[in-house]
Amino acid sequence: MLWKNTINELLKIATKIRSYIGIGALTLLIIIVLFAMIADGKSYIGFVTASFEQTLSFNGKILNGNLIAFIIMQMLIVHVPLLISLVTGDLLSGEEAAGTIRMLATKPISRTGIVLSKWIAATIYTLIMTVWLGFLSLFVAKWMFGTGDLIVLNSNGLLIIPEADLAWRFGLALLIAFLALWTVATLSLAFSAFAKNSVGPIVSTMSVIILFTIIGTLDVSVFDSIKPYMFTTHMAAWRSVFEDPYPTSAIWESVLILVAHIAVLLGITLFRFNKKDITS
Amino acid sequence: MKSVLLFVFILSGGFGFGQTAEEILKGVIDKIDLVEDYQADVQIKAAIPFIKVPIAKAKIYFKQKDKFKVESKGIAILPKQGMSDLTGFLSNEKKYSAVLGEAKTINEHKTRLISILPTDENSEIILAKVYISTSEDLIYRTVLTTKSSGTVSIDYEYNLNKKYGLPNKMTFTVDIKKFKMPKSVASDIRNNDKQKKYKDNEKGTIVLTFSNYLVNKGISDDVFKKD
Amino acid sequence: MALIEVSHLAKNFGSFHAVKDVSFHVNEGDVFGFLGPNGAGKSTTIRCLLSLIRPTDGEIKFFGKSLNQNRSEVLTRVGCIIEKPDFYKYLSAQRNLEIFARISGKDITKRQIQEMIDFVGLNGREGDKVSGFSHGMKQRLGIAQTLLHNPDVIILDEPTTGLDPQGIIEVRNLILRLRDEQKKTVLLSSHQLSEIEIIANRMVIINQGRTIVEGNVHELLEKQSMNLEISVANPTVFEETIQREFSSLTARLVYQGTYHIEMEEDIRQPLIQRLVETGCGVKAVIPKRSLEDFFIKMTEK
Repeated sequence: MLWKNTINELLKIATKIRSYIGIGALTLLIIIVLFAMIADGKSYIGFVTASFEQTLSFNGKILNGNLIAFIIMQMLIVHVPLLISLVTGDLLSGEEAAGTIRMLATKPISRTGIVLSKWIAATIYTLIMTVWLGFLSLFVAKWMFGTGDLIVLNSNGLLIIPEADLAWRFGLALLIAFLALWTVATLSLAFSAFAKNSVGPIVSTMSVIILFTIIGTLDVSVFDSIKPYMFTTHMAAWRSVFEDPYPTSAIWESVLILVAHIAVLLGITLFRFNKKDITS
Repeated sequence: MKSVLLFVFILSGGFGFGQTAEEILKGVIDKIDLVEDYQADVQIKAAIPFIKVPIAKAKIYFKQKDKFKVESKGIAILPKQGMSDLTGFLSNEKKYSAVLGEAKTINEHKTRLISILPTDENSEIILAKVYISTSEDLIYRTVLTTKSSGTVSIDYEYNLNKKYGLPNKMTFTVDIKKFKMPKSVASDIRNNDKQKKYKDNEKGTIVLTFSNYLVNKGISDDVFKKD
Repeated sequence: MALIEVSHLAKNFGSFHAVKDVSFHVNEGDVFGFLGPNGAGKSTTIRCLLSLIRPTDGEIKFFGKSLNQNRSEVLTRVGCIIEKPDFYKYLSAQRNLEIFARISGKDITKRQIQEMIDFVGLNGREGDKVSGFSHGMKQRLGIAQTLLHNPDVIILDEPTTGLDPQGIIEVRNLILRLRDEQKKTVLLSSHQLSEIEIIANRMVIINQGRTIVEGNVHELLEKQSMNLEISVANPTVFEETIQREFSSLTARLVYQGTYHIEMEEDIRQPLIQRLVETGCGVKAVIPKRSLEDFFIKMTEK
């Protein structure tokens, strides 16, 4: 019954216009970035290498598809959570608002089954968005700009990663990025279990992300003890894959914290929906 | 006794004690002029503060008088000064004045210092100190002081292409200013307090190892066209 | 055999006691009327039956099995419409039915779905989005959704709300067909008491969260005292006669010259005879024993 309802949920997502708003917006954003790089990519490189250009010259194809992919991921990982919560925040509350939750909850599928099938569908949607992001930023960028080594600007300097060493890094980075986005999807689903319309969960999700991000950047000792456990601290963990040596334990820590958030948020959603009296 | 002294004086002419700066330089320039063009494979190993870069492989092309190109599949970091500009600079004797300096042994090679001062105020090079082996007519060290790039020191090693004055190894030592990165651009998630502390001005080295020289085989001008 | 058994059901929403003590049972083959005034706890009770709401106390059994412990198995055999049926507006009628069919607990083919669409009179519109459906069409689609998995028990909460008279008749006929031809058991909650009186064989009336009366419809109506509607030409004489000679009775003026009087069966004959003798000008005498009257009487207590 779980898998049958998951098919139902995927069908519903696939036939809603808002699902394509997210994909469309993502595509448009990436196209804009690609054209911006065509128009003025060299200025960006100049900014990256500015500190060293007095004494050093950088030869080779710096502005290549790998760098563009990296730039796109950096820019869009901030915005993609909103696009995902547009869909996942509507999964439970949207049905409540439309009245269809009544029809659904009188079927021989358990409340747990309803939530899990929606969560699986949300996961698949998030995966599709991540894969699409990866496809556009890696393959389309490489098709437009060619390939080459990746130059990464960290706060302690420049790192040049050889092309042959990039495929697995991008793969792992996308996997970790998916984990971060999956956490956002689960958060918005949890909010959706408490709301009777879709706007609340979407706004709440973005508010939490913004608030936690601000707390994370504040240099105030009061927040030091909670920062390592906030999921927003680990949403950029994918970037650690592009360090040398890459910090294995820090990456694992981020993965575990994100997985823990997903588990707790899913647990809250299940508890809430199982206890809920459906009066609408 | 006088004949002995004269003999010694004549002999010592072979060690440059009798040569002027221009004469010593001419030996080097004559070798430079032997090379119409060359291409070679180069391995680039950089050890520069604030930069982590793997060993890069590239191909270099040179054609008289001043055509130079580096072709690398990956990203290669090279010094801004001292690659090809020095030979072009030395070839134009009218643009500088040379002063003979002390003798110095560099890597077991006896050399004489020639200090070269450009006469052109607009020259990028302010001062070039060239340590030349008078017996081999080879440069073993150059210290360039430039307007925009600070000071770069280059050590040379030679092997198969001594007759052309083409080194098999060049070791560049460059000045690196302290790297400052605005926090808003770098998005490292971890504020790594354990990172190495660098001084305001550090030195970096770039070692170029040349191989597979092809000298005077002819290189088309198309090779030097910009991509 | 009782297909539905509700025992001392209670539901509190915080400090508000929506249902205090409701008990009834529905036998196999019943068309069971579930009645009560607004706010009596009908919707809450029905939602408890369908596991939309968790009861605070009491027990619900379907087919002899506890709903709490056999929810999936029970709901595979139950179909329902709660108030107005809501569907996924952005999907077609057919797609909606496919979605609900997939989680009905039974294997339902596309052919069966099409047959059901034809049965409720929506053939030709199955490909249209539900957003373009009228209320009546949505109600029909709701019935299709209810019957699709061939349930043994059908729960209908106000199924005729918003329907025109033709629609009401169609629903009535459908329920009768379900009972007579398909031997379904139907629990029907409705404010259309005349409809209940026609089609229900058993009923329960609840008020203020409690069961008031339960039983066979006709037996309950038979037991109650009769209501006579008397039309007279001389209302003044009529009223004087009633006051003087039948003071235990109360004549309620319905409209000019027409009165309702509640009485036992054995007083009817003497009263009419006396009214004729006193010259009231009796024009019509109509006995009434309606569910509406019974309902009002029960819920006024």
